[in-house]
Amino acid sequence: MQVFKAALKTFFRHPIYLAIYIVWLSCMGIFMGMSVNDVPSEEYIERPNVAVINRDGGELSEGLAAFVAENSVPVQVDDTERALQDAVMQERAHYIVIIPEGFSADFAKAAASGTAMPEVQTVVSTQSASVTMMDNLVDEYLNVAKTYELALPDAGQAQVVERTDAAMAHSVDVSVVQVAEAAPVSNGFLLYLQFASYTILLSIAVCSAVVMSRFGREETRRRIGSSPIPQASVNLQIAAACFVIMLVCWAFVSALGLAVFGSKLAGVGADVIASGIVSLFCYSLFGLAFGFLIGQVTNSELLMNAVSNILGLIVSFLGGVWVSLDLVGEPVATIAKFTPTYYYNEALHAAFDSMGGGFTAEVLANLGIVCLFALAVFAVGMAISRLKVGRMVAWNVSSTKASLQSAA
Amino acid sequence: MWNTFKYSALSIVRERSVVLWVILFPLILSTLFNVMFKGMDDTAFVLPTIPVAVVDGSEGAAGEAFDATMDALSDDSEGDALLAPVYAKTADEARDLMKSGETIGTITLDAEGWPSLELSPGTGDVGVSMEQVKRTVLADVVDDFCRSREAAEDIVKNDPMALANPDVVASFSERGDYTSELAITHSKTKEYVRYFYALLGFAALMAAMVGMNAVGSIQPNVSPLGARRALSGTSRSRMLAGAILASWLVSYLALLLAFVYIRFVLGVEFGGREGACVLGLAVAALMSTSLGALIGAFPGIPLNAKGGVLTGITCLLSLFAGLYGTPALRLADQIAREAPWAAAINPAKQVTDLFYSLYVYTDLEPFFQTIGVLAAITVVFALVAALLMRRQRYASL
Repeated sequence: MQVFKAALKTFFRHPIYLAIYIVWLSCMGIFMGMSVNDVPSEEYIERPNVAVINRDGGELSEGLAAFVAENSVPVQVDDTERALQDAVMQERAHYIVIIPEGFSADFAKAAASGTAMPEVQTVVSTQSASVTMMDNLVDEYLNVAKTYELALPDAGQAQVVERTDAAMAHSVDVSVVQVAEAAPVSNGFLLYLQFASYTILLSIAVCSAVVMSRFGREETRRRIGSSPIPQASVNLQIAAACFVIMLVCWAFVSALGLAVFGSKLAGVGADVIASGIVSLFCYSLFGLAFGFLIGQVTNSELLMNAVSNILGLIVSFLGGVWVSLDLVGEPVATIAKFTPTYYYNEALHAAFDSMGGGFTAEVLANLGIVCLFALAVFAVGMAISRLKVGRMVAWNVSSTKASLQSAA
Repeated sequence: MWNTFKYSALSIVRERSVVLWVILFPLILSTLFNVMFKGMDDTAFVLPTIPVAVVDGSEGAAGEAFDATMDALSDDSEGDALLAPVYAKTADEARDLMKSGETIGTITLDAEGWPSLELSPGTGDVGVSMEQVKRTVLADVVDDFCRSREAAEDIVKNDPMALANPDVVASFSERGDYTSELAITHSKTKEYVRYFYALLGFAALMAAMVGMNAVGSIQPNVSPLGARRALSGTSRSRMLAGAILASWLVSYLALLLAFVYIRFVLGVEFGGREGACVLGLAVAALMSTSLGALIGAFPGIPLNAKGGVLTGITCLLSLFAGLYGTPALRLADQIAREAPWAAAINPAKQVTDLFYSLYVYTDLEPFFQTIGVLAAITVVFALVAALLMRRQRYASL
């Protein structure tokens, strides 16, 4: 057990890694998780922040402005170029409708005469689906208004607007079908667990790689080699220590997540939460294998850090941690399927599926793939480790020969 | 001083961690971003066809108007069908389709042909998911139908005379476009550019490693090299000046390299104001050098551990500058709106804003304001660093 103890001691002697990778990154995950809208299973995209700049003041303009405000999150923006740019810069307004002067009168005139209809101007801070949706709503309103302008040529705009508003007040009955009995999982917790794939991969990989590299140093290897402990036992003990490190990381990340998001998980089935935590465990196995591989390839802490960070970023991106994968292009989405993070996320989504999650066949299948990834990476690490041992044996043999010759 | 400068610069670029973290990492990360976000920009608005179940419970001709709308929306002759309706006989059948994930919702027509909508509940995702977009579009489409039908029925009922005008009847199904987008910002905003700006903010903080190493190697109580140098004949202020100048130059060059790569190799827009960017980077490098000096001057922490501290600070501050994907960007915007002071004291956010303000504003005033804030941050860091460095007592007998 000496080696095991020494290995764990090495781990705890590097508090900086513990602090940065496990605690710090978990906190980042917490921040991310807390930043999302926690309305469970939001069906719609959020209504955008919309500002209306009404330079006209006619009846139709007022009606349109009121309709837009009702169907969005209204914000106030001054009518100056700088204020508009500020609003865009700070993402205060995602969409700004500018109703030009004389719009109401021109609209009535154009409808009556059949000439080109006047347009309202829009300012879009960032093109997005919710902005397109607002565009459609404005069009809808003005379409109906045009119908009334045509149908009531003598009624005056007040009546046109009144009846347009009445028609636009109609909306479809929407109900959301809850198939599962349990409450859906909080988005924040899901996002935290998704982000945890980054945290876990980095922390386990770096911490276990540090331990392994300490034992992998030439001098240490020789010293251990000359001790009466069989090599297999040494390896086994180091492996056990790394496994304990993995358990520590996994338990910490899981416990922190449950502590912070626990209150939002009331009513969620225990099996659903457990399946999320188990998914993280499977992913941790991959982190361990990854750390093992890196520990075999290099002894330099600098390189280990860099390789884990860069690969960690790539793998977690491809798993859809940073942006939803159905928003990235097809080729990227295809490449993503060659990473374990993808299957980890698939498992999480299936596990938290409101149509009945928990340990479903889909979850288990995805987790199986994650474990296979872990196994494959571990096998590569083993192969490299064998090569290294082989080299050392060869070196030992040749140096023994050399010393024998010189003695002779 | 020239010698100190020369050898400081040389020793900085020979430090492997600097080459890796300050020079290579931003290049690797930006390449990764390029793959990530460029694709996102292209595909974000290609809305896939939405699968929906339809249960037609209408009697007689009441459902005809809806059928016509459905036919129009699912017409795939030009490959741009919005809906892919699956007609189901019963509500249970439709619900099974929804459960199996084949459709995302069910439209049920009542006897009079008015639709109601059932949606499958969504699972959370990072940022906005395509599922949410589909649900929203579906609800909006059905809403649109209801509203125009309401208007048409209202006219038929209350003003039947108006139907004599063929324009009125035509307008029931007409869909005009009444909006035109106005460009008020300096460049057309594309969200993905912001990640690259945040990346430059991250790179600027990472570049503090240069100043940290350079200053740390002068401090007698931080590194053995510093202790040796303290015994040399060169005065401390001259050594410091040389080291700081060299660190600034190296971090500036590293940032410039990242900028040139992002701008010209990856083709990310900076609003056509590359000259201002180069100036901005010079100030960013100054900030990073003084941050590095501050961390480097901290007594009692070994240099390795300082590297860790710097990485931690950089990652956290970059989170609030919006580096880590969509949720992080929203978080950064929210903080900037609700607690502007928190954004103002975050150097990563300020460097990010430096480029974004060039991209958004037509005039350069906000850019120079940001430069001013960065200069102030630089001065504060430098003052604290100077306090830490001056009149230090080292281990005495």
